[in-house]
Amino acid sequence: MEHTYTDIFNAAENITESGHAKSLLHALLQNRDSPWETSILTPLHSLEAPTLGRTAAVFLIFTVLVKLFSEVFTGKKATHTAQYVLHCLFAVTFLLQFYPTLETVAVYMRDVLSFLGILFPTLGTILASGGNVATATTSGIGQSLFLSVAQLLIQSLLPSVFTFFCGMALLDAFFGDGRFLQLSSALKNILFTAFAVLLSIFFIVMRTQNIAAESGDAASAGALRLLVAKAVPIVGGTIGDALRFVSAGLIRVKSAVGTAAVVFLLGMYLPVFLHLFGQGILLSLFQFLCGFFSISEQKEVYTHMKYATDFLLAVYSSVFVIGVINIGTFMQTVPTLAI
Amino acid sequence: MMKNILFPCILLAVGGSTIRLLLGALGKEALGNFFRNVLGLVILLVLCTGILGQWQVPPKITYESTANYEVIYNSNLQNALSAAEEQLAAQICELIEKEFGVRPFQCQVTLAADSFSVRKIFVQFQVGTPISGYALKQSIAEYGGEVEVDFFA
Repeated sequence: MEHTYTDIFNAAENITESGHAKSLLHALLQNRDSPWETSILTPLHSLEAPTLGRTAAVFLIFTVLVKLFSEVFTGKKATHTAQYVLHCLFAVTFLLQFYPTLETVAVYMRDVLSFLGILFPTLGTILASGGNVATATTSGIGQSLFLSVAQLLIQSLLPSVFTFFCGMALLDAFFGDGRFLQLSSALKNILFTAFAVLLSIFFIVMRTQNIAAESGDAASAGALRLLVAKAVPIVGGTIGDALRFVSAGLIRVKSAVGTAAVVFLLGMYLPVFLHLFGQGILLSLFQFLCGFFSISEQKEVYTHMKYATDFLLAVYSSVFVIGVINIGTFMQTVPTLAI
Repeated sequence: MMKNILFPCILLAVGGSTIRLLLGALGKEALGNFFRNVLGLVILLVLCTGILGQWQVPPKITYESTANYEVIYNSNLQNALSAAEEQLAAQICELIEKEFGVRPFQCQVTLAADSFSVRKIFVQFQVGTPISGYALKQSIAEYGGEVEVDFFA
């Protein structure tokens, strides 16, 4: 029973991609009695926002200087061309720096999915071992559906959406006068609406399934006890110490696995959240500064990037929240055999 | 790799902008604007085609297809079996001590993984322990399975 914890975290350590996930899992294996002591703040130094901020600040200063220069001197056509070239250069430099930072975030989230892919089946097995067969079955269906949708979102939709927004920013920088921003804005609205609908449906289905499962477990509790009493012979013919021992072991494993899983998810999600949140603040700040100095072209590039960052943050946060809710449901479920 | 889609777009944009600036410098601004609109649409087309081309539907995750599922399931089942076997062996030892007044040197129980039923009970005593193997087998027969009693020197 005690090996279940080690099995899960060893298996997860083998299939995760990022060094951070591996070190976090290793630390959880070492500190299994006090998982909360595992440092989840280690990867914060990997934030790339300051580099992006420097690039954005340098280009903003240059653009403002060129703009001031064009207002003072009469050669407007030449300064206008210089402004345009500078702006195009900014868009290309900024996008090429912006893209890789998001790839690191995507690897972290892929690791979260790999971990959940190992964790959820084990949770189902532990639940079923405790007699909560109905809960294990319905949770299994819900978790399988969630993992499939999350995988589709993280591995297919998000890179496509992100590339599209980057392309739109590039087009707006080179050829635009706000037309491509309209397209981006429309896409952002469609994506957020579709995602909200998907999320609502998922929560409704999950909740309905859980209610059905709870009543299913309660109805079959007596039958299960009888079944176990027959399967494992107990002295005196009643459910005695052996069953209590197995139940206690299950609760102990459940609690240890659940807590460590939450710590792992937090440790993986926190850097992702801080990264995207910091990037969002930075983009908003430069949007404001560009508006302040009336540099609409650069402001549009930031707006496209802000749409992409916001959508990424929404999807990643939802995956994290649903993952934690699933673990919470598992930890809340008392083994039917112990009741 | 989605990032690679951006490179042809950047090349097209840089080339197109240079031509447009040249047309503007030659005084053909109307032609330059037309060129800008056409090139914008071409790049949009390249971008969308590239994204659709790279789109991959990931395989559906099911528990059966999760690589480690079977290993973890079997390991978990084995852990549960071992725990039940230990507990049952301890109970049999206590039962024997209560009924016969002697504690066995060792009790071992083997359960069947498919049905959780008792497959074998092994009880070991030191030679000279005042206990009848036949009586012992009778008393723990209710557990089912094969009972083996051993006396060691």
